Amino acid sequence: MSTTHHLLRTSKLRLAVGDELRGPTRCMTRERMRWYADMLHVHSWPEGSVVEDDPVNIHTEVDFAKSQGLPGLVADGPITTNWLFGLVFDFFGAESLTGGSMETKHIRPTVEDAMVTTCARITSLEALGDGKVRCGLELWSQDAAATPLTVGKTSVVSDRVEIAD
Amino acid sequence: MPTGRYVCDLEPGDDLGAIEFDLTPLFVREFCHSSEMHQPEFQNGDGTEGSGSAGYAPPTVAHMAKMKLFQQACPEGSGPDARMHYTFQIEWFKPMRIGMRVRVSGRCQNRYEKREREYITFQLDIDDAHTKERLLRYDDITLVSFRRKSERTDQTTSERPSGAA
Repeated sequence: MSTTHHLLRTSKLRLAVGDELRGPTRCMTRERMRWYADMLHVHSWPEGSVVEDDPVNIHTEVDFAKSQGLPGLVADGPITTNWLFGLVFDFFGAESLTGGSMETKHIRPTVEDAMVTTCARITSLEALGDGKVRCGLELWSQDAAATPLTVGKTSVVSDRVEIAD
Repeated sequence: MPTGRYVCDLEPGDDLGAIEFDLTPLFVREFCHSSEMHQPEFQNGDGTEGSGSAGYAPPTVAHMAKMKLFQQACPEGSGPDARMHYTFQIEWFKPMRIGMRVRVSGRCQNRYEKREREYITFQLDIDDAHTKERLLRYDDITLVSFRRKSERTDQTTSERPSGAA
């Protein structure tokens, strides 16, 4: 855990509508795609199963991806959805697990070696009266040219947010 | 009992059945590790209820739950073409603690065509297997094939995809 992330999740945040949050920029390497694909493949079976075959899909096999009309390997959409949730969690903490919603739409394939940055923008802040604030956020991931790849929104409740005047 | 041979065989109204499994520390850590959610709330839970270190699964673990359900409902995988995730929409109502036993059920809700591409929608519920409380609802839209119908002249592929999207 980085110091920055630890501080983020243990400090009060003073936020205003329009504030933007940024996660790290990551290169969508084929190893990252394979990491998630292997996990899904193994854990789709009951725990303890011995899974001996490899996943063959558009995230792991270039020739198969091209046969599907894609330019090459593409990332599984939930990878960036998870990165976006991780960004939200870093700012809003464990309270955000008690209730909320999230929606993402993968509007362009995330191709191999794309430099992906996760982003969020505060769209609403509602004081709930018990020290908690309901936060609405617009979410997106973008490549190096700032072209959106995944877009979405989320709503979480946090006890760590103060609404800036 | 399987519902369809492939996921792409599913029709509106098809019941995907239900599965139960434990949110074990290994399962949650593997999911979060491969999703680069390294937060200690997800990585270090030991599943000991009331210990203060039980840990949580992020709500995005719904994607893994879907893949486990598909493994049972459609054991031969995606289908002749690779599925692609289009939208991911979740609403969560309670935290999912490590150590919980969850019940995942789902159904195929709709199937439609838009600009020569076919989409299938699914709805899944994740409940506490013991208390029956609803923890999360997941709505999913999947693209049956990236290639448009007019581009899909060859309906066979040399390798059957597995575990995609």
